[in-house]
Amino acid sequence: MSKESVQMRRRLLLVGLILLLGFPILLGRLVQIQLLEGFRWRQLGQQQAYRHVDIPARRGAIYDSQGRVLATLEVRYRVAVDPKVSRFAESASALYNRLAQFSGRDPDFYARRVRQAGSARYVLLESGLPEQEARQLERERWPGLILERRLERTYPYRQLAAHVLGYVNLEGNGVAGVEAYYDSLLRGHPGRRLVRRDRLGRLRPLVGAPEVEPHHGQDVVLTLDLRKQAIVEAELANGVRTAGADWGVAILMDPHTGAIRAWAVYPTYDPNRPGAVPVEWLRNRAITDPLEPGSTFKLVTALAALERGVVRPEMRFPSGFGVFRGIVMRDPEDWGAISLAEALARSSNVALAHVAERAGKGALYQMARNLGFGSRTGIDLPGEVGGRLKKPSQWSGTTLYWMAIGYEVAVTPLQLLCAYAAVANGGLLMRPYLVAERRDPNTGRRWITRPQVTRRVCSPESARIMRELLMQVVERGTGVRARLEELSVAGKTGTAKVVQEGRYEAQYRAMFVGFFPAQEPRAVLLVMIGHPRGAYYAGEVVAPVFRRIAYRLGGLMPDVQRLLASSAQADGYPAEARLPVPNLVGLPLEQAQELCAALYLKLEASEEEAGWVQEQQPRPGTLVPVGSAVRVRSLRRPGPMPELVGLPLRWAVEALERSGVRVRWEGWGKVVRQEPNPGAAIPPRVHLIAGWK
Amino acid sequence: MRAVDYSIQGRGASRVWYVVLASSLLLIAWGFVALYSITHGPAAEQLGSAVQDSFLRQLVWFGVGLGVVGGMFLIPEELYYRLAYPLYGFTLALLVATLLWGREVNGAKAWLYFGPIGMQPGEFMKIGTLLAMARYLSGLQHRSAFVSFSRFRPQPSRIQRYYPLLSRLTDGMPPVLFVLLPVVLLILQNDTGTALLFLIFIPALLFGSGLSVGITLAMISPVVVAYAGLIDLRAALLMALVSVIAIGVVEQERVVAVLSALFNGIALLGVFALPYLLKPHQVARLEAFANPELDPQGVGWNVLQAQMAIGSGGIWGKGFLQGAQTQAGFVPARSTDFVFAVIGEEFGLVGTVSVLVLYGGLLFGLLHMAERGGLFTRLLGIGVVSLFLAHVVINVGMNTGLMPVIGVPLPLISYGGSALVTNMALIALVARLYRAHQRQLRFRSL
Repeated sequence: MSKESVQMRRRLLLVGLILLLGFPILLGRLVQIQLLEGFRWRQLGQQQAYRHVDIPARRGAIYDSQGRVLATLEVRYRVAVDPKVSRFAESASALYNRLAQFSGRDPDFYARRVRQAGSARYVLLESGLPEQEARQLERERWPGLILERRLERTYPYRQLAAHVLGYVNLEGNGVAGVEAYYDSLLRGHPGRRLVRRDRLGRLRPLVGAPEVEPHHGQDVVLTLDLRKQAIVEAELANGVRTAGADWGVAILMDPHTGAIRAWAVYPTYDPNRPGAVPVEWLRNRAITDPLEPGSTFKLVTALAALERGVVRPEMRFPSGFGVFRGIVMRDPEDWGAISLAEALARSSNVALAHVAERAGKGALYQMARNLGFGSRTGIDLPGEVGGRLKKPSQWSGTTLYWMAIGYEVAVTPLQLLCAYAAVANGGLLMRPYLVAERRDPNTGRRWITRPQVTRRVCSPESARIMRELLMQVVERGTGVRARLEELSVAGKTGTAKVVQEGRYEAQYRAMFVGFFPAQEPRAVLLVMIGHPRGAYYAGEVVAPVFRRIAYRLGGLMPDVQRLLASSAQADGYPAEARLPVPNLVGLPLEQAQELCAALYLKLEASEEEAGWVQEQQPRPGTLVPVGSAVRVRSLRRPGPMPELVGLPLRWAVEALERSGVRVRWEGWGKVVRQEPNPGAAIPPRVHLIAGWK
Repeated sequence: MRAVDYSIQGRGASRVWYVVLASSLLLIAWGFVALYSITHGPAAEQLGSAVQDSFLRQLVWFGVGLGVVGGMFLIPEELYYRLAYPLYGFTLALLVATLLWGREVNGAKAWLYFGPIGMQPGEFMKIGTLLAMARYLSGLQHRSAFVSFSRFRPQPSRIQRYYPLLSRLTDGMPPVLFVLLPVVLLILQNDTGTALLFLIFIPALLFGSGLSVGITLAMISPVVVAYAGLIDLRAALLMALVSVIAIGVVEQERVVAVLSALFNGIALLGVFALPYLLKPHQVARLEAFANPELDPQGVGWNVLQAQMAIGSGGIWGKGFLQGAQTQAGFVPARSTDFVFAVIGEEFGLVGTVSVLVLYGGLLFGLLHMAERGGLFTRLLGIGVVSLFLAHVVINVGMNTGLMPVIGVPLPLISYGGSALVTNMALIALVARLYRAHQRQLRFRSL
């Protein structure tokens, strides 16, 4: 082998040596990143390759007490445009006109929006478009049109109960009403899903990936009854329009529990499109606007005096004209010395000022405080204010007299209503509430709201006397226009001048607060109308509205229907009217008889003898024409336990004891729990628990 | 008449056949495994059908490559020597044609289309260039004249004394020209990645034909230093110092060390001064030139992704078609420059080490073959090995974050028909001539 060859071979070996040196470096690097740092790289990789994606939680629905859906989620479309798309400009005005057809807006509105958006490639024009319309638009293939499918909050009954429900913002979160107050519960918690993400950010589902189920929002059942709500809203709107007034408020409440049955604020709005009305209309005046209550506050004065025992109903007081610490008070007429009953009936300022003087500062303040003025009622709505009630230490010399007739004090309509409810139910101030029940759809758990007593404000006896006095107001006083032949109504009128910038102006608020049936009140109702033009006395403007609402509601209340049954003829009802058959099983025969009579049904018992209903035909809930027969089979021994929840305790106890069943009970008011449950055999001793203790 | 005498083949000689054949085929198989994972993995349905078809296309190219290799073993060996210049001319003509009528893909006008079939003449050029250089340099041995290395020094150096093939520096000029011609054409095509790799032929073949270690080092070091300077100036300074000192120790000729120091200094100064001399966007363009695969904003991102893929593979890998990084498309240029990351993620350390071991086997096998051949064969062998070595080291280096990103594919594994056929042909070339040497050699020049 030549020397050249040896040399060449050496050089080849040198190249091999470089190979031997280079590869170990690469190998070492691989060992470093794959073996030693492998875990860290893997984690880094997972961070970018996997992404947690929220699974949205369904927002809870809102129902009324009868199960009607007041707020739900529906598929809606957002309409947006991309003005930069070619051919957009040519068809733009036609598109605006087309959208205007759906929305009722001015086409210029859209044009302005697009112009203001500048060079944006996404301009939102309309939201909440229903599926059908969206499909139609999609088929028409407008250039630049963007349709986004979303689950949106919708309110099927539109403006009904708007101020109770509130509304949601674009993100679907509650900003007013029950939607806002219960937002965290309605909203739920979104779930999480692990997805794979690629380099372009596209997400792909991962089979078998861990997933956290969303916790859907709770469904909420309101105390409202939409039938009553509709009546109250319609009558209030009617009353406000008739009076040529600016606004009105009407609230209906169950005095025994504090459950709100209807809540109307006029003018109202459609929660589906809250932006379509002036912001002022969105305000829930019934709790946000304290105002001077005027004569309706005389209840406080009278009750304070009665409760303190310094005044009796038949005691007489001067009327017509009086000077109190330099202030002159006048009544429209001079009635001479009148009794407290008359003073309230005629709404005499002078007499009530005398009453207040007798009761004294402390008693009046204490009673106002007890009745809840000056502090929030605790209703489950956002934005409530407490009003203004001055402490006696802050009173001037004349405050006592002014306050006696409802000035120098600011109250919300709801506070006023609660005060009257306390008189109606026998002296208990109830906390008003709107949500009767919450249901967790994930677990099936339910929360049922228990009526809550804030405090006892007066003795049952004082309350009874007060009810009598208020009945007089309607019988022959200022509230005579609220009188109904069929239904005894008690209440008080109030007309207050409006304070503006510290001066009383020639503007008024007219209100009427009352309850019915007067002896055994089942409903308290407040109607208030702001700034009526022309006639402004509450007796003229508001009392008729109150009367019409009470009249129409009377037909809806089973208790009231029973009272009405004596005067109404069953066959006087139109033949096509249909009623649900009540559940009679478990009731004593005579009570079944009574109940059927109240509902214009005929009871046909299999045996003439008294006993307990075992079976009935047709079944409960079947709709039958008025006057149909309900056949029942009865036995001597007590049948299955009847459903007693919801009945007045007194009623239930009486019925059971009359049938020879011994009863142990707790609390009073309405039965909220029973032992045993309906349908079970009747034990020797039944245990009933009522709403409050 | 050629009598085949297998007796001169030792046991090792027959084994080297299997080593080269097996490691080549296994590396190609790795390429198909990775390509299948990329084109037919769970994420592949999102890719266009053109991408999915690339697996089939590569298979066809593999078939073509086998045909070429088969043909090469049928051609008489002396033809390689004789046809070296014409082949160089032909491939150069192809390159010029590409510049004129080529199609631009990813910014580089490197593709020549014959109907639906596209190819990269830049790859074929490697064969032409290598053959031409080997032909020229091996032809030098017929010169009888012995002229001193330089006129400054009458005595030849120790290495030159024993191995006087490249006795005059001017003899080294034509092969340098052979390389620079295609390099200029490739840079004009905006295919700098391929062009840079051509330069490896100059030190490799000149070194192989007798250039002193010091001069070889002096040739390489300024390029490396300048490139390193774009990334880290301090490292570049260190490299320059080390290489100048090394040259000074190895090379008896002081001039070489001084010149090397001068060139390195110019390289460093140039890199250092660049940001002050140029406007920012020009600097950015220069950095993009250094990292041709990237837009300047994305520097480091690709490497991070590749590193993340390889690192997360661990020892055993995530399994075939299971690589979350590669399947989700985080790894860039998955089928070409970063195919190593795919193997690293799905087959782990086991996969990557096996690839390196296979390359090691292939390259040592080729060296072994080259060593047994004549001068022409040896020069070809040293060229092929250094070309492959540069590809592998740069590619794996950039995949693992050791080196800056240059668009360099992994030989035999990365997707690319022209490159596959070229690489197969280069291996076959060495093997073909080795076989000729194993049998009786008719043509002395080989």
